[in-house]
Amino acid sequence: MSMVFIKSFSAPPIDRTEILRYMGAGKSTDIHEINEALETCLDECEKIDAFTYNVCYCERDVSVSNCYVKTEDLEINSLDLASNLKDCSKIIMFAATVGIKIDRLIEKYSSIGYASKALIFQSIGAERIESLCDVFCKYIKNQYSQAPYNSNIRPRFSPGYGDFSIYFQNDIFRILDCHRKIGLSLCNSMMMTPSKSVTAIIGISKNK
Amino acid sequence: MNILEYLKSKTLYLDGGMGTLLQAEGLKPGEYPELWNISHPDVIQRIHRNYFDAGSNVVCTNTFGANTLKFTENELDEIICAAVKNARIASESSHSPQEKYVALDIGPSGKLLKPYGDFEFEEAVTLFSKVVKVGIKYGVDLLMIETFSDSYETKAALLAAKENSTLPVFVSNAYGEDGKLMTGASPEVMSAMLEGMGADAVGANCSVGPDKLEDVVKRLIECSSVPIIIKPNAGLPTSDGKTTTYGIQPEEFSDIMKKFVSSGVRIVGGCCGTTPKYISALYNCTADIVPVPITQKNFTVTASYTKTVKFGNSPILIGERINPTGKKRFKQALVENDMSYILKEGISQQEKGVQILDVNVGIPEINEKEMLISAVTQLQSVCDLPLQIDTSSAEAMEAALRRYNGKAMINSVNGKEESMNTIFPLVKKYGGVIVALTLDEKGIPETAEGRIKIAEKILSRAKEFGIQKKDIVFDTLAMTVSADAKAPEATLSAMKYIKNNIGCHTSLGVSNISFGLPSRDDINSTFFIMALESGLSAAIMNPYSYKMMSAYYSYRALKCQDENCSQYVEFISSLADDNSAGSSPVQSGINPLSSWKADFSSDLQKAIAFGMCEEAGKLTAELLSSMPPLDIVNNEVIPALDAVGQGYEKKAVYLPQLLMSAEAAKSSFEQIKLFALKNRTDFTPKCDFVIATVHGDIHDIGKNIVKLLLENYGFLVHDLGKDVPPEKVVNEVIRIHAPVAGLSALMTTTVPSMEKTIALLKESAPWCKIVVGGAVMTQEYADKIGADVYARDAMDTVRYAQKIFEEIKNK
Repeated sequence: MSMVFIKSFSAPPIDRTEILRYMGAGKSTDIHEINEALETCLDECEKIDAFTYNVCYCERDVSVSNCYVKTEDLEINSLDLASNLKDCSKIIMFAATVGIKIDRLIEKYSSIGYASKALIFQSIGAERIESLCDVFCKYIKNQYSQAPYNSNIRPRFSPGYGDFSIYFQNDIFRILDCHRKIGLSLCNSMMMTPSKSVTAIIGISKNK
Repeated sequence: MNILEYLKSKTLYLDGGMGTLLQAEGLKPGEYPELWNISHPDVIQRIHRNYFDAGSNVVCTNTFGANTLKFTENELDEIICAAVKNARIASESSHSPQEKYVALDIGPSGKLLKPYGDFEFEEAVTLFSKVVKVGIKYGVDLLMIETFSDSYETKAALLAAKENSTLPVFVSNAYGEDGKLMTGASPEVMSAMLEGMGADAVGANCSVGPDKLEDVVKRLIECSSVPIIIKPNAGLPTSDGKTTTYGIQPEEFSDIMKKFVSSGVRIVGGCCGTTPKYISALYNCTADIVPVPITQKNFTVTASYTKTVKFGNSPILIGERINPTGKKRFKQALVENDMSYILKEGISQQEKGVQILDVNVGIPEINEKEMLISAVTQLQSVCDLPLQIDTSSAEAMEAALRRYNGKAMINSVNGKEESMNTIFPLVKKYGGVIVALTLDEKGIPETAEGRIKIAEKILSRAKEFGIQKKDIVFDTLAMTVSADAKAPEATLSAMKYIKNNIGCHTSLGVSNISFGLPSRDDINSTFFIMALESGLSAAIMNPYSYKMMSAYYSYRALKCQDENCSQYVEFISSLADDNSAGSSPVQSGINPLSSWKADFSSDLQKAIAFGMCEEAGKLTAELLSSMPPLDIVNNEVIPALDAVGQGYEKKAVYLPQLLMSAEAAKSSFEQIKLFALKNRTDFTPKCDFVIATVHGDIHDIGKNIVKLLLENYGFLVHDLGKDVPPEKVVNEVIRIHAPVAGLSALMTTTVPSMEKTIALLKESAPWCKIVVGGAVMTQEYADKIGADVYARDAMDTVRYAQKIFEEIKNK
């Protein structure tokens, strides 16, 4: 089954505590000024319908040895990934993005010196993409916990984690055809645009 | 028969999917389908032939991803040669009787263009030019630019097509379920931009099934004057764990497509997941439909990359503030290349309610062409209003139009032969709505009749260049009433005639009327209303003027253009908000820094420390009447910033608060700068500081925070932006002999380009100290790549810069 699938999700609930953490505002939700600024920014996001929640993904059979991960179209030499995928027989490879509008908001405020707003939008974007990944992983978990799979899923693992080289972004983009499927592009520096995007691999195994 | 001739009376059938069929034939995931033109010509020919047999008039060559990002130039030549040959063989071997054409298929590069990606616009044009040239060489009948999800890249491809061939060009974009391209363009935007540049057909393909395209189809039909292409997917693929199928079957597909054809779509086919069966079904159920004629739409429309502004009954406001004429502070920003000042001017005019921004950055001290390109591209990265490019330099005009994303307003052409001969070809090539001034070699006619005559001449010359009447907006020139009492009458009656009898829209720089008079706003706003009554479509005006804005909202309320007067009411209540903002005393409310105790000796210090921008600006302006600027900086701004900085270091103040405080300090500085300019007070910055995000790195929020803090501490920051090549950093450091430069990198992958920049600086500008920072940077890295110092945050950089400054001062 080599097909790449596309899935759109509705907006996951907003986790304000996470946003504050990304902002470097600790866990303190009691600072009026910061909360007010955060709410203003969230309103602005809502007003322009700032986010889309799109994922493209494919499933592959995988063979894993102690530092080597192999599918029909990909070979990865990474101890960390291999140990994350230990005992897995399949993987889900995915790319997720919340779209480019948030990049525009960050750029807008950052370029005219409204750094606090830029920081807040940056943090909102980070929380949004992580929440999208969580929702997607939950969706995969549901799918694969049922027959015929009856399997468990591993935590998502992205290029750049541990010794899983960031340059595998090239392969993921080639295999998932991310640009065509969800409008995601890769820069020469391996950064993705839109910036609030994630690529990762999820292991699927019969064991925990 | 030429395909455009054929289209005049018939529905044109395109082919269906290629990739899905190749996978069924054994194409491996991730393998390049384009290589199959050479390795499996029989398969490709068979697929093409099956499409012709199913009724396709056009097959697209199997060259979707054929470009020099993936292949060498030799490979590209071989691939396209084989691809065209395969399509031709299929065309000849199919016995189906219809007219057959071969289209060179041009897909997107897969990269996102700057400013949000790392691909230069001109690089993209070159990339597509190479594809087009090879396609022409091997003899295709038309060019098919398809599946582009970014308006800017689409422009690059169409420009490449137009600059390298005379073949018909079809352009089709990938719209999402929201009816927009990934980068935000609506069907109206794409239609305006692409038709303006001379696309022969426009439309939508890929991404979704026909069921999700109904709205896009409807809107394209309403706004386009060229044939419309619809080439959807067979829905989305789904899997039951064993087999994968596309959601929409041939019958359902063709049923929906039939509706599209009946409503006016003229070019139809399928994309991912569709097969010859789909095309055959499509052909069978639509062949009998009499094609709907294509009608000319006479709307005057300008567009940014996401929105259009349509000229009509409701007046359009064009913000005039991005213009150095008579503005010292703006000139200073241009000379200092202070782009953020210019961007802010754009954003705040948008907030005031203008629909278009006029952009004029011409002063003798700078390279206008370079500045105009920067201003236009950077404004387009932060503001989604259409721009009116305003320059008297044809060279700058062309450069800006080329890089503009959308369909620009062009300011201006006039009745002089030289002007028309220079400007019209640019309008023809790049598209745009042009402002035409009713003056010529003999100057500005005093009478309305004289101006009307010029307007008629301009129209007929424009027609010779192939420019349509709808793309010309006339400015009958407001002249100073204090010099000639009859001037307004001439302007207005010429305008009235042009609007009513010639049928063109009009625009006017309103404020000229009051030159030399006191309280100019009173005259301007009254004249504005008179002009609106005489048929003015758009005014170039100052949106900060209460009287002008109040005239605008009142007029619309009185002219049945504002339902329930709600926008008028909103405008009036926004004034009340403005008045109350900033008036709240510093001490009121909860102390935002409640977790942190510090003593401040003045209200200004408090305002800055607590991040109250307006208050800080206001207090600074007041203080400037009794205290020298430098004392305010040293005794008020810096102590407040220092205290907040210390609070931050003690973790009593959080990062957002530190930034809010920095913003308040900035608004204080803005007042000081204005004061210094006005009173010619010497206010020299501490020293120059060059700052850049290194090559390959496209995020600069961190760098911008550092810049903000440095400016607040009195450094003159030369911001080179993001993704900056090493040479550019070195050149700027040498040009101003900067004693210190700051470099930022976000990813490990861009550290090598930071290293290269440092090496080049050490070699060519050994006096310059280098401070590095960014998400990925560590002391260890910094040492390894030869930086002078590693700064872990913005305050750290400020401290280092101050140290350098002290050393220079003590020398």
